[in-house]
Formats: sequence, structure tokens, C-alpha cells
Amino acid sequence: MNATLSTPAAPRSEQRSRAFDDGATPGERADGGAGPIAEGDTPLLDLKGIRTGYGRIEALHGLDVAIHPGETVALVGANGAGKSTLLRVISGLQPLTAGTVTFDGEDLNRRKAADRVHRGIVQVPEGRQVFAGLSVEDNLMLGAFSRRRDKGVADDLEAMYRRFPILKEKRRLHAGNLSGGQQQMLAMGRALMAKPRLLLLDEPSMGLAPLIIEEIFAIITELKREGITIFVVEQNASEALAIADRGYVLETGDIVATGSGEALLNDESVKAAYLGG
Amino acid sequence: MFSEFFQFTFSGITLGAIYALVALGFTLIYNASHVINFAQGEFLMIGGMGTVVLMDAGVPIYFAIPLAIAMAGVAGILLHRLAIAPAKNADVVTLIIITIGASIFLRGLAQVFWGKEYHALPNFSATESISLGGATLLTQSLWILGIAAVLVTALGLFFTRTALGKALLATSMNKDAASLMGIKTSAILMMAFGISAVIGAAAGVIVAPITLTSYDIGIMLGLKGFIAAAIGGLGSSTGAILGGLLLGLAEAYTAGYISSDYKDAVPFVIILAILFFLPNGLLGSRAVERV
Repeated sequence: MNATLSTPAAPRSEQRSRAFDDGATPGERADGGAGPIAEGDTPLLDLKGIRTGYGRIEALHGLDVAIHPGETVALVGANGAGKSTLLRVISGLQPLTAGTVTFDGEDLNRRKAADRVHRGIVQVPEGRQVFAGLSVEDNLMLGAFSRRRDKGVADDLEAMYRRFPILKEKRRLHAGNLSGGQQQMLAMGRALMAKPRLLLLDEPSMGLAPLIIEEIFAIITELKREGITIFVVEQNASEALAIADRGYVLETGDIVATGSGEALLNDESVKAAYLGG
Repeated sequence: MFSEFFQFTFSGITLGAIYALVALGFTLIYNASHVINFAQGEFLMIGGMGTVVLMDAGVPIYFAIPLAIAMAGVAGILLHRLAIAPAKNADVVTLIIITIGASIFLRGLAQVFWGKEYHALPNFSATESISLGGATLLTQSLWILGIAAVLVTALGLFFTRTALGKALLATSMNKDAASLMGIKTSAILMMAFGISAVIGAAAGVIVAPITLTSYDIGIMLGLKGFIAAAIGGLGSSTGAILGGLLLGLAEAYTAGYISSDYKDAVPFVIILAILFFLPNGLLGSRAVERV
């Protein structure tokens, strides 16, 4: 977990972090839902007026989210708030009824899920979803499917094994034989093989033992340090907000609070609702 | 006595190799989409009849065969593009009914344009048979076994050695997760239809010198191939091959030792027994593995 990866580390912009520290004040309730945006800083991912639903039931009621290059942003909320739905929207698995998804200045609305991966939006889905009947190594290589003609893939695989030594040890085993924590590492390694410009993590701590959760969040912190832009969705709000530059609180399809991770952690109403008082 | 047994065994294995190829076609599409493609038998028909028609038009057999197989491959891709893909969110049962419709349509086209007669393809080798240990072996049987072995090996290598093969496996295991890897799952499904059409057509061509070919051979061969796939446990390639061979042997022994009148009933008796006692087939997955 200590070795660094060959992923190109974009230097963290000092200007950016300053811009977000003076964002929302503790306890502030967002009216428009938009996070604090610095002038002249274009978001890497810009979601505007996102509406979607399942059948007649609307799951997201027109929300706005912006994620800037190099940022780690957390989206917290209860089960069923629409967190995973939002990630599915970003990845192109869930069709929109209204709103726009803009990535790096390009409108993605008509882009299919696979095209979005080629553009650098890579998701670690809820519940890991590793390919259980394929070997660990096959899983990692499938992560690099979008760059299968790239000569650097073999080196990246080695780098991934240095980062996750346990995966190297088990690389011939079927992914279904790994423990939950190992599967989560595999799912993250698989996503990193695609060289994400934006890494989406859906409930990385779900169903894992506390010690393993610590380990997973340590890995996320490390990825953050390497400069990868991360959008993490969590029910485990305290862990997620602690590592995030900024956070959003989602409640039944609406964003009800936003601010710096620290600010949200200290927010009384957020504490009461999501951090166990 | 022994030579008789040897004879039946050999023709059983030959027949079984054909069923195995048909079953592999079913398995491939079933894995990629959970659809049982009842038009699979028509690919055999297109392979066999296509070759006959092209040869009648003066194309030499060595070109006619690959052309007919390619024609079937295109038919498979079109089947996906025009019939399966447009019904994207339909449930599996609807898609299966679509494939039944497509098979009737293809059979009808063949009947109208290629006629209702039975045709024979010439043997692939000049010598028709050789005798071995008191039994007579058709040289065409050797061709069938050889070509089936090559196709099975090629398919095995495709799944274990190529990125596209693994992408197909990944799509069959979890379509959404495969999309998140940047895999175009719709293109993968189209490829699965193309490949299984090619395998089916190849089976249809190599069997044609022995069984004759006509516009309607797809019905029985398709059904038997499906039964072979079900015996093996739908979704398992090894199971499909095993199921095909078992079915071929059972048919040959019944025809040889009991009566050839009952030969076509054998697969249906076997499928009833399998459905009663081993509903997941011989090698089918019992349950989803999840930690």
C-alpha cells in the first residue's frame, strides 16, 4: 500500500485548496445546492439540474454538483438517498430525464458508458462487482480494456501488484474466492488500470470489517495525495468527510448541505443525521 | 461383436461432435445475453444450403464453403442488429420468442429462394470410407472430428488468450460492470451472435455430406444441439461438448442396438430425465458465488 503507482500525479493546485477553505460555513444549508466555485477554475465534472428516476418514481430531483481537478469530493447520505443513482448517471448507466453532465468541457449526455471510460471516468461500483469467475489478473487486465493497445499496461500491472501485494499473491485465483476486503482492493486496482482522470467510488467500505475499512480509506488518501480526482459516495459519512476536501449531503434526491469536509463533519444537523449524534 | 460396438461408438462420436458444435453456439449466446437462440439451427442450414447453392452457381467447393460460412456470420450479426438489439429492454422470454420468429423467417426465405429439395454435398476426401478393425469408417467422419476439434480449440484460445474473449466472459458475468471497464457490451453481444453463427454454419457444412441438407434441417439439429447444451448445463462450454458427445453416443447405440426408429426420441427422453433429476445439467452452476 506504500509503493506509488505510475499514474501521472497532477500537482495539487494551492490556489484550488485555498478557494475551497473559505467555502460554506458550518451549518449552512445550500439553497441552490451548488458548491462553492472559485473564479476562473473550470470544473472537471459539472452536473447541472440532474433529474432521473426509475419508472414513475423520480430518484434525483434536479441536483447540481461540480468537481474540480485534483479534488476529493464526498457525497454522503442515507441508504436510498440516490447516491449510487448519481454515480450511475455520471458513468452513463442510468439515463437522465433532465440536466447535463459535462466532463472536461464536453457534454457527455449522448455518450455511452464505454465511451465515458475512454474519456477517463472510471467507477468502482457498489458491492465491488468483480468478475467472480475470472482470475484476479484477468480482472485487472479487463480494467485496462479501454487502453488495451497501450504498451504501458504491463508496467502498470506490475505497479498495481506493488501497490496491492496481496493481489499478486492471489493473481491466479478466481476473484470470487477473495475476501470482501481483497475484492475491494481488486475492484480499485481494476479501476486504476484504466488510468482514471476521475475516479468514482461507490460505498468502498460497504460490508467490510472496521480494520479493513481503515485500510481502504488509507488507500483512498494515498490516491488523493497522488493527485487523482476522486468522487466518493459513502454511507460511512465520518470516514468519507474526513478525507474529503469538500462534501455534499444528499437526502432523498436533493442536495441539502454542502461545504468543506471539515465543516460538514462539525455541522450539528449533519452530525445528528449521519454521524450518530 | 466388438467391431459392431466400435462402429456405433464412432458414428456416435461423429454425430456428437456436430451436436457439440451446435450446443457451443447456444452456450455462447446464452452466456453473453441469457437468450436461448432458437435460430441457431438455421445457421447450420445456411452453411449447408449456402454451399450447395454456391456450388450450383459454379463456385468451387473450397470457396463455396468459406463464403457460405461468412454468409451465416453476416446473418448472425444481422439477427442481432435487426431483431435483438432494437428490443433492448425486453425481457429474456420476449427475446427468445423473437429468435423463434427469426428462425421461421430464415427457414421461409430459404424455402422460397433455395427450394425444398434435399441436397448432398460431396465428401471432402476422394475416398469415402476406410475399414478399421472390422468396422467401416467414413472419411467424412474424420473431417468432422478434425474440424470440430480445431473449432473447439480456437474458441478455447479465444476465451483464455484474447482481450475480446475475456471481455465477452466479463459481459456475461456482469454487464454493467463490463460497461464500466469501457467494454461496448452491445458490440460484444453482436460478436457473440456472429461467432456462434460461424460455428453453427461450419457444423452445417461438415455434416452435409453424411446427412444431406435442406431448408428445414435446422429444426431437428437445432433442437438436438439445444438439448446437448441443456444436458451439459446451459452456459458451460465443457458441458456443451460433453452433452453433445453423450447425446450422439446415446443416439447411435439406440439406433444400433434397439432400432433406428427410436433414434430421434432419445434426445427428448434424455432431456426429460435431466430436467427431473439434474435441472442444472451436468456442469451447470448451482448457485451464484458471492463473498
